[in-house]
Parts: sequence; C-alpha cells; structure tokens
Amino acid sequence: MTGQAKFLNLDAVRAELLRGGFEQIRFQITQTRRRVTAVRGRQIKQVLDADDWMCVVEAEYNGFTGRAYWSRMPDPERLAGVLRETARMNRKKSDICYFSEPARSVRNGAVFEDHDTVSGRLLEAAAHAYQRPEVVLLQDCSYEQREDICYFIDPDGNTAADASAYHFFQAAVNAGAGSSRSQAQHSCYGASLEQIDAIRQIDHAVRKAADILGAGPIASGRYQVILESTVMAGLLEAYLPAFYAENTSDSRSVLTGRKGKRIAAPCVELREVPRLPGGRSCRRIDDEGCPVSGSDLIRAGIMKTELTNRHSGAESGLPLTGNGFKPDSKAEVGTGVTNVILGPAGEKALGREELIGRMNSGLVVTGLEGIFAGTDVKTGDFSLQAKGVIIKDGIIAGAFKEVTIAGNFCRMLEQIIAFGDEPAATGPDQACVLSPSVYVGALAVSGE
Amino acid sequence: MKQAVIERVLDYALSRGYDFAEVFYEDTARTQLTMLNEKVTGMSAGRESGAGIRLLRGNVCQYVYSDRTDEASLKTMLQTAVSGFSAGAANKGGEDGAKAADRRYPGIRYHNYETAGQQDPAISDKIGLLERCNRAGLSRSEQIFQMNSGYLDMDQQVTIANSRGLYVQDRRRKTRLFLEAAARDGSEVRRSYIGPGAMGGFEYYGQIVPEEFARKAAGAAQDLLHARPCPTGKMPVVIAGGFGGLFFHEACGHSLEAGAVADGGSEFSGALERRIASPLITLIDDGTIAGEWGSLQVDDEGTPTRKNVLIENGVLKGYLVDCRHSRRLGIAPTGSARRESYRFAPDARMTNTYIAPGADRPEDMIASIERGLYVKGINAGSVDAYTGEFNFNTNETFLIEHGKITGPVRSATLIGTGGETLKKVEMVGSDFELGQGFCYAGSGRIYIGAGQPSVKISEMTVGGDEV
Repeated sequence: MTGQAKFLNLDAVRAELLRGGFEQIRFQITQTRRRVTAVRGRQIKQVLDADDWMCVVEAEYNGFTGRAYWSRMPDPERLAGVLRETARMNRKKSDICYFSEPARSVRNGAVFEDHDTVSGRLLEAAAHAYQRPEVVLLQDCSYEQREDICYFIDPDGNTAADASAYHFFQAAVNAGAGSSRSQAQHSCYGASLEQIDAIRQIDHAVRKAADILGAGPIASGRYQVILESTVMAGLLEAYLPAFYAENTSDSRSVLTGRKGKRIAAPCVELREVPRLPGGRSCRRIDDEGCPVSGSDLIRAGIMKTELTNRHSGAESGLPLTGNGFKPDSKAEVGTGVTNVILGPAGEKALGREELIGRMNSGLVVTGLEGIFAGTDVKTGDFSLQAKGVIIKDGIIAGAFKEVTIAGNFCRMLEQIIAFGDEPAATGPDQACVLSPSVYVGALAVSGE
Repeated sequence: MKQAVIERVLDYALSRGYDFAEVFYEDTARTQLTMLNEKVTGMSAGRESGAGIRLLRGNVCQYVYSDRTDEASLKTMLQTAVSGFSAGAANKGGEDGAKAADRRYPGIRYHNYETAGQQDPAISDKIGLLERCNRAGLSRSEQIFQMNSGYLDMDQQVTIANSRGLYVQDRRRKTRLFLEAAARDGSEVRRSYIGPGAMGGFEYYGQIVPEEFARKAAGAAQDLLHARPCPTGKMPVVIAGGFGGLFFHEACGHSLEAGAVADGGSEFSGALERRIASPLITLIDDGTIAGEWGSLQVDDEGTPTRKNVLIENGVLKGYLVDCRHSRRLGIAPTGSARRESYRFAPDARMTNTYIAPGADRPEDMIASIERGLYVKGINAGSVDAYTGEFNFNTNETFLIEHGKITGPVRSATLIGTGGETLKKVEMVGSDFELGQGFCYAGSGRIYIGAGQPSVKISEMTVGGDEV
C-alpha cells in the first residue's frame, strides 16, 4: 500500500465507523523514514533503510473516546470492536483538535545522503581513529538519518502536518594498553554529513577512551566534580519527568510544590527550544495538535514551568504548554519535550581548560552508567557508576573508574558553580537534552 | 504475506549478488492497560504488521523494513536500497575473508509452531484482573496508599524464510502483569513492584493467584519503610533467588553474546574452555522452558531454541550465537537470535538465563556475614562487555549485621567487573527461582527471564551518598 493509498482508505474507514454509530472520527498518521550506516572496526557492518507508517484512529462512542492503532488496513468490524470497548472502559472524553485549513502541506526538508557517501566518510574517520595506538576496536561508528512526518486529520477532514528530521553521528571506541581496557562514546546531531565533522567527533571518543587507560578505583570521599557535557546531558534527561505536571501534581516528582521557588544556583538556566541548532526535534505542533512554543523551565535558578499536555493541564489547572507527545507512534499521548538546553544565565561560559582551572582539584566525570535505574525522579537521589580523570592543580593527574558517584539532583543544581562552552546532546533513544560540561561542586564517591 | 511473494523476494535478492537473504514478516496484536488504584489511566490496543528483509554479503548486513508487504513495494524498496550501496567495492581489501555463500536453494523446510493459550478475553476482563490486583494490594495494610498496575499481552504471528530453504511460521503469545505498590508512613514513601509473566495467554491468570503477587509487592513496599541510608564501600553481598538473576545477566550474560564476542569486543572473547568463574557457577540460557516468559519455539531467525550451557562449573563452554555472527566466529547458531519486531535486524541475545542451583542454605549465607547487604530485588543494570564493568540498581535491600538481617536500607547501586566478580561467588543456594523482565539492546526491547538461587559474593562495591 502506498502512502497515498493509506489516506484514500481513511474515507472508507470513516464511513464504516459512522455507520457503526461512531462520531468525531479523527486520525493521526506517522511516516518514519530512516537510513543508518554503521562501521565496526575498519569495515562496514550494517546499513539499514526503512519507510514505515502507523495509523491511529480515535472516535467517540456513547460520549466516550475509543482508540486503536494499526499499520495495515484493519478488518472494519474488528476495528469497531476495539474502539467500542476502549471507549466503554476508558469512560473519558479526549479533547479534539480542529484545524482551520482544509489541508496544509509539510515541508519535506530532510536530505538523505546515500550509503556509499556516508560509509566513505565513516571509513575515513575509522582509519583516522586507528592511527592512535591505544585504539583496539572501533566498536561502533554510525550515522543515522531520520525523518518523522505526522499527519493529523480532524473530524471535518482537515489536515495538519508536521515533521522532524535529524542526522546523528555516534562513535564508541575500545582502547587498550597492557592489561588495561577502556571504552568511551561520543555523539552529536547535525543537519548534514558536512556539518557533522566525523573525524572531529571520533577524536572526542578516542581522547576519552585513552584518558581512562590505566584507571582504577579511588578512595571513597567527597570530591569536587565536573560532569562532562554528554554525562550532564544524560543525567539531566533522566530528571526531565520531574518537570511534568502529571508527576508534580501527584507527588511523583522531587519538584512537587517547587514552582516559583529556587531550585538551582542563580547562574542556571534551563529552556525548552523547539527549533534549536544542534538539537533533534523541530516540531511546530505536538501530538495533540497544540502549538509548540518552548518555555523556560528554570530561569535564574527559579523553577518557572511545569510541562503539560491537554489532560495533565486540565487535571492540574496549569496552562497548556504544548508538550503532549507520544513516546512512540502507537502509544497514547504522554508528556515530552522537543529540545531542552542547559546553560549559564548571564555568566560567561568557560573553555575546557578554564573550567578545569576553576575547579583546580577534583574529578572530571567522562562516563556515567546505570542512569536508567540509578536515578529517582521522586526523591532526586542518584547513585551511578562513574569513570573519568583526576585533576590536581588544574592538570590531569590520573584516571579513575569502578567507583560510584552519588548525590541529589536538586542539591546538585543548587551548588552549580560554572559552565563549559561546548554543549553536547543525548542520543536518539532519549529525549533531546543539550548541556555543556558543568562544574557541579562536591559529590560523594564510593570506591576503595 | 504469501509464500510465493516471499520466495520471489528472496530470489530477487540472491540475483543481486547477496549470498544470504531472509524475510521476517510479522502481524502482531497487542493490548496494554494501566490502572492507578481504581482508575484506568492508560489503554492501548491495536495491530501492527510489516516485514524486514535482511541481506548478507560476506559480513556486511543490509536491512530494509516497511509496513508495506506487497511484492511491488518490497522490490522497490530493495532496488532503492541496493542501488545506493556498493558493499563489495566498499569492503575491497577487507580483512575478514568472507566465505562465498550457499547460493543453493534446496527443498523448502517447513515448520509450524504455535504457543498454546488464547488472548481473546474482552478488555473488560483484563481491567477486571487489574482491579482485583489493586484491591488486594490496597487491602494489605492502611500504609499501602497506592497500587499502580499494568497489563500487557501480545499475539505475534511470524513467518521467517531464508535463501537456505527455511520456511517457518510461529505464533507467539505472551502476557504479563506489572504490579507496583506504594507504602507511606508520615512523609516517607517506599515502593516495590513485581512482574509475573508467561509464554501463553490469559489462562495464565487462572494458573496463578494474581492477588498474591499484589500482596507480595505491597508487603515488600511496607518492609522498606524506615529504610536507613545504605552503607557504602566494599562489602559482601547476598543476592536472593529469582530476578536477582539479572545480576548474572549483566555481569556476564551480555558479554557472552556473539555481537560482543566478535572482534575481541568482549572480556570473554577467545576464552572458551578457560576458567572464568567460581567452580560453583553453572550458567545456562534456555529458551525452551515450557510456558516461561523468555521462551520461544524458534528464535527470530527460525532456529529452534535450545538449552545452552554457557559456563559449566566455572569453565566457559559456549556463547550465544546468531546466523550472521556464526560466520565470523565459526560456531553454529544456538537458537539465540532475537529482535523486538520487524523494525530490527536480529542479534544474539538471551532468553531465560539462570544460574543452576547449588547446595548452600540462604540462612547460612547470611549467618556467615559480619556486615554486608542482602539484596532481595533488582531494578535494572547495564554492562560494558569490553571492559566487563557492570552496574545494577537494587530495589529491596537489607543490611546484614553480625550474621542477621537487621533492617531495610535505601536502594543502592552495586558495581564490579564480570571477570572478577564471577570468581568471588562463595556460596550458591538450593532455592532456585526464575523472574521475568525486559532487556534493552541493539535489536530492541525483548522479553527475558532471569533467575538464580541465592548467591553470596565475597565483595562488591556499594555506592551511595554516605561516604
């Protein structure tokens, strides 16, 4: 079935459902185009191409909203059965978004490079990495090109469309020297192969892996800490749900009752920016059809916004922020973000050397594992496996690994001292958060 | 998807110079429900279908997927994908010396499998099940103020065919509950969860008593009230039987998957027949256990699953291998290829992974410890297969002092390296249990079992804020 045919079939589905007693029938269709080129070692490992569609239908039945998804034209009777039953059990009515224009086309702005072009560049970057004697295996060097187009068709048949596209590079490097082993990763978004300098990006991963060679546990204690950009972005991403109204209103967030209060040092600013250079998402409307405008989550250390979708906004009485996003095309709408960026409010961002100099002595954490399970949005506590380099008198004096680093998200934000100047982003399997390296003050380290 | 179409797609792929081609077609119905106390908070039901086509030329894999499964669309996609990728030229001079393939197309071997059970009950019955569980949990104690439950089921029909003449159809049914209880005393709130699941249909809930699981989660949440901060540093740890087996899943399971082992990418690469663990450890991955959540009749390449002994009495005996990596490693596939859906190329992954029971008594393990931790539940973890560094976060955690459990402590992160920690296993209990969960990796989110008897590890690093 072609994409066009999917749209044509909607009329048949609508007619069938109307005959079955359904009202207010609306659709959301998502098309995903992906191309991934991956190198392992000095060879191409895998290439992937995809063109995949998913349809979701919602309709009212006896005053309640039913919902079902499918990727192939369903048996109308079966579809009606699922919609009836979900409406009956849901016993709630969803808000309906109407679009004023009969149709609005989406700009198809994504440019896809072919595998030969991309693999040539990746193999070049791989050869560059192997010039360093410490590199044992380029475990992964991959480039993903992706475009998601969402079509919203309201009960009157009017259509709105929105798209988001990105190119994403990531590298994972295994290094070795004697019996010592290390592994490090680096990644970034961009609009094109040209913009993403693969050799420069791979250098970051190689440096991080090489820096940790020879590392071991350090003594337990409290240390001054800089969280490197990718590490800080990953940690921040884990705590984004703390800003969701569905959590703050239900005491499931460490930030419950903190709106309007200081939750971070005065130099801290955290913003959602829908169309951010270096970010991933460029959506203009969310998955409920609401405009995405962006907002300040933290301004000058004060918590300013709780993020809402239609349901959580109505339940909590908070204004709608256009954050009704689905975690995947089949799922129900939850809360999500476009791009979130952490940065200094009115303070000068520091270069890497300056930032390390500011700390003088302590740890630079370049790898943090276990974030998925080791962070608690309800309490803010975290305890995570960490590795990185030891700083003494402003210079690298060794490396550490096989320790845990622990603290509390809010207390950490409150004690932020300085920011670096080169933001890095989380990967495509997470919400898009960008952060520079951050000097976060003292954290607890459990080691020897 | 008709067999004739599949055969023509495979023929087309082989005609373009690939030495192996495979079609994975799936049609899957799912229901997911969530309920908070008495209120339905989420409901998702629907059907998705699509096909993934995998082409191998030497060690290079080309994968194409789409929801469109008519012959014309699939061929158009293949043509587009093939035209932009000259893999042979790109790999000229490669070091792997890939063997030329079997281009033969022998007589087709048909296999048809079907998991027993049925997923037909109405959504109202499934919601009724959650209501029963939530009521049971909430009535456990006045301290239990919240039950957050979830239900999911899946009815997946797959057809897997390849250019070696394999043609397999399998119908897989799975179902699982997720039961989280929250206990409160004053301002202190503690949570615990349990997630029983099975390979089968709704009849599973007549074979167990779901309310007992809800009460168990509620009791565990209550037990955690007044938990003290967890001590930190190096100390002995006892991990209880059951989903504590996730510890070995992280500590060594992932490092024995072919994708990690290839190219020297795992700490256990090239270590077959070497001692890598305490002689008390026998590690098994078994996808054939009847009715188990992590079981499958055939894997996602169509190879029948089997019982794989990975470590026997501390000696490394095998890896988990899929078809593609079997070429690189020269080891036959082990029925371990897994993928979340047609959107993922398969990779060697775990099914039900467990440590075989030993002879020790759990109470003797606890009695042998002056100061350490008793870990009854594990949330999740991760590992770097190359360095062997792993971590996992505990859920129900208790302090052992002077040979006795003296009270709950807050959740902690435990870390180590697989190679070292496996050798520190001092005692293995006789109280075996298998738990159910999900594993996230390159080929997506897959259902897995993890189990073990109680195990005592002489020393692990315990992380936390109390240093």
